Amino acid sequence: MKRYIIWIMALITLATSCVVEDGYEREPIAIGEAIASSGISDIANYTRTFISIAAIDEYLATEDEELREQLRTNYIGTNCTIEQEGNNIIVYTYNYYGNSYTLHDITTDGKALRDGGVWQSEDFRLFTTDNAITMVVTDTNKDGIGDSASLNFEDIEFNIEQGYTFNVGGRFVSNYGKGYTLNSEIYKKLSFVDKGFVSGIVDLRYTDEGNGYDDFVTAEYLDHTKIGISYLQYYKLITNYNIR
Amino acid sequence: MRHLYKYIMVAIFAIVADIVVAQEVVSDELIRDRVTSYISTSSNDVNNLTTVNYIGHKAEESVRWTNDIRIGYGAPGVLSLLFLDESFIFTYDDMHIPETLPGRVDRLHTNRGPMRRFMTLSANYHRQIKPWFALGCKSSLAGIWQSTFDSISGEKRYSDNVYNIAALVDARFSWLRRDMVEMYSSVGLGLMAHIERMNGALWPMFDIAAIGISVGRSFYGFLEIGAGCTGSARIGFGFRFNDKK
Repeated sequence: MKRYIIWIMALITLATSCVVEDGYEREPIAIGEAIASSGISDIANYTRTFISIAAIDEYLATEDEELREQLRTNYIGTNCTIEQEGNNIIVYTYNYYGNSYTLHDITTDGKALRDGGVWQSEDFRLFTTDNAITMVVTDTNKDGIGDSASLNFEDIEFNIEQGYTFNVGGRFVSNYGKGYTLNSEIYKKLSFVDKGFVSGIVDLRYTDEGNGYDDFVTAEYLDHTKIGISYLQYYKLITNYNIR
Repeated sequence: MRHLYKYIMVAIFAIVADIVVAQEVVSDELIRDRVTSYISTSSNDVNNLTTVNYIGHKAEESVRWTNDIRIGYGAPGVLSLLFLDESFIFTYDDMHIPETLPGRVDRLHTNRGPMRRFMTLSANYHRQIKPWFALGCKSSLAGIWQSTFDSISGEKRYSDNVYNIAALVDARFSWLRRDMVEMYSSVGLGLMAHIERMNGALWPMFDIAAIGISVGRSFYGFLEIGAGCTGSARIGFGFRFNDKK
């Protein structure tokens, strides 16, 4: 009898071990965070690119060697050279091992951006409209996958001490292919001051045709200077999560 | 795996229980001597005394039970887990692949419910050919059940039900045979069907019991340590019987 009791107890103990893992709980807010961080990162990356382009424009317009050096090292690329051959501007950067690669390869119409010029590179086209410089991002290899944007950089001011100050408006679309699209629309113009955004609101809409997802998030840029660091992507979600 | 300690504790518990019971059996010297036929007894009519005659050699052993059916439950082994749920070994996070936004959002849109693992139920039949050798078949069933829910609405979207069903030819070698205790090893070869929600596969499969002990006569319990499709440590019970004459 003792033997049977022992065996039955052992079997019962084994049976209780059947559930071996808890589930993975995820909050809807995590979806909003993923969408917001991705969309805001897209805009921030092209804003960085624009600062570099604006600095090249400044660099070519001035003959002040001290200002050129500061623009080159602080706003274009730490280790870079700028070569201008006719209407072509080529910016090379160098890595630690001395290898170089092309940072920008721009064809201009012979004019500076500030003078209403039209600049074209493989990834984007820049032209002047009224008080803004518009950057149109293109699908480089025409495969329908990639970024497309029309971002307006307005009220651009440059101060060697404080850097660039401007506002950003427009929209940005990231197309991941297969029906995945992230549409970022700047609802309230982003203000860029001193290497980071200080305000602005972006509506972000993510659609996944295959799974039928249509997620909508609103994110607000916060003043990065108040947190004491230069951080381009400091934001919070206003609307945590909405399904249209 | 977080419940592995339970299986280890149960295995230790069962081994200790077996040893205790086995000690009771083998310490009964009279039973041991009788079943191993090292001695024979005869009556002395004159003195009405029983004398013991040592016959000096082992008598030929006969097959006691010709049929053996058993049902067992095995603790997960590395092999059975690997074949049942590959993600047990390498998860997406382990691979450190940067996720794209579509992948992240798709993953975040779902919650996975608790995973239930049932492994491994086995049913065996053996026919005793020689006292030390039995040939038979072994089958096993293991499963994982996990449902995926929409993280917004909480509705169930789909379930991942994965089953492994194996069938093997099994040879068992009994290297210690006593009245109530038998120790053995076995090796089996066969096929395992892996059935998933979306697809399935058929693999060659093996199962080894390195050390097995059974305690009992017609009805008995057993414990095995081994590797293969029936898990790492197996316990269960069985029934031995002879053919109808």
